[in-house]
Amino acid sequence: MNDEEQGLRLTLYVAGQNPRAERAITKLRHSLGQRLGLQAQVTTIDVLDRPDLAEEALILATPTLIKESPDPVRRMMGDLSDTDRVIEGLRLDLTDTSNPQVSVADD
Amino acid sequence: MTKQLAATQEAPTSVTPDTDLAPGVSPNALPKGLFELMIGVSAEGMLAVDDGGRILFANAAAADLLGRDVDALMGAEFGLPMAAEEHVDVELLHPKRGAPGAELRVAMSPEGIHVVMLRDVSQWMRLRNELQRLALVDSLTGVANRRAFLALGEQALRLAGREDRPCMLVFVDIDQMKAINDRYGHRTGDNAVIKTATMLTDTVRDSDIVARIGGDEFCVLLTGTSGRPDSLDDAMDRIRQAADQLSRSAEFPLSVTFGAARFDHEGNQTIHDLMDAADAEMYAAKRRKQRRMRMLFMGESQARDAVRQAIEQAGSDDVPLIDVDTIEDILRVTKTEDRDVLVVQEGVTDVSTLMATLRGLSATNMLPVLSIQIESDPVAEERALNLGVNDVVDRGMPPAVILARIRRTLDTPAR
Repeated sequence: MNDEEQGLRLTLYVAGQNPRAERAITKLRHSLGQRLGLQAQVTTIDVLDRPDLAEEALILATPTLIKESPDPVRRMMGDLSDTDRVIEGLRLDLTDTSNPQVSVADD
Repeated sequence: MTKQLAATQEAPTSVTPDTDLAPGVSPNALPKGLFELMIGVSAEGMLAVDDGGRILFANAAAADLLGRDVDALMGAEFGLPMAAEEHVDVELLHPKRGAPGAELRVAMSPEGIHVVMLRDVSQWMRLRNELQRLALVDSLTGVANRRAFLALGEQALRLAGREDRPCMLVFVDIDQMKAINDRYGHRTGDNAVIKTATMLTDTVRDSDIVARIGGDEFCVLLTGTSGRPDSLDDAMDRIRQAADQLSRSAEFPLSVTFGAARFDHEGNQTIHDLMDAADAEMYAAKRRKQRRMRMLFMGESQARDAVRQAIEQAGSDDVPLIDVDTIEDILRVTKTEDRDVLVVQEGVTDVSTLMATLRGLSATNMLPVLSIQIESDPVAEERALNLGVNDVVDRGMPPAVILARIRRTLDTPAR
């Protein structure tokens, strides 16, 4: 399975309830859909429930957002409310339409 | 210390704290390695993170906060640190301490290195959470307080509206709270409140909300099963049974009055509306209880008709007439909220002893016992009875046993 078939996969690691981070992700998904036509598949993992998964992903702090696919894998942590900065940090360039990552899930 | 100094040696030289120097002091005048030492001994966790989110440097405090060796952190993925505001609350995944809270601040060096500062605020957060909890919990009973009930209740109603779940608010008021406090003391009064709170929390589901919203008043918000409005009736029955059980087992007279109001999904009701409706129901129930009066007859009941007429003239309809043989019978049928008239036929028992016994029993020592002397004249009898009954019905006397003392057998009913 290549990256194109996998689409945009994001994983959000939180410790317990984190409405702020979840709101930020909702906003991010909306923005990705509206502005880039990207459908992101987001998995939220509570590290208190699944410390094994946090350990496996070597998470040091929460909230941490990981772009699992497409490459390059990127991770960001802290305040995720600035959608533009998150999109930039995840290397989903808004302006460069030739960027292969943008066309990935553009279906 | 060795490890921490070794780590500082690897630190990028561009990490230069933005520090004001004393007047006249040139940066060159400071000993080499001073800033590295300061970072090394700082209690604040410091990391240098590259643009790919990888850790280039960690001080000892950062390693301590993250529960890992400095060496293990070098090159590890921290993630691109984001702090739009002055600082942002994060949780650090410490292998032994769970996820303690920390403040994250980020500065950017001219070379594009992210300088991450982490401050342990877990103790402060615990304190904050405890304060929040204290602000929402009733200190005597441990159930939610009024403020919490309004906030949680409003949320619960919205959710019930969305999920089309039946919802009912039950207002619970402890009967005769003032009398309990006056007669048994405030410690017992507190005990009555605690017992009632425990009875309610033990009876409802965890997802229901129990709150003490005033001195002797509680509110319970019951949420039923979707499509099963009768699930609320079952819940209400359970509460009533638990209250009866509590009433029987308490070592002082303890009973409660309920008022319930169902949430109307179409009616746009707020939690305040629902509380007002349940409160009004509770007061109506309380009034019904206070008006309830029964006639207890001990001995030959020739006086019944006379007494019934007296009661009717006093404006009370539907007064049950009950025969009792013993004091135990009286205690069994009389509750604190009842206003019973006990008519004792002269000669059946020693009235003074009976009164003394009633007053001495803990179950009835809250009941003011009113003795009415009735002479042989039927007119006087009627007046005397009216007087006693009126005291209760019209003047709102506390729950009472009225002891009507019939001096002699009446041949004809009083007119």
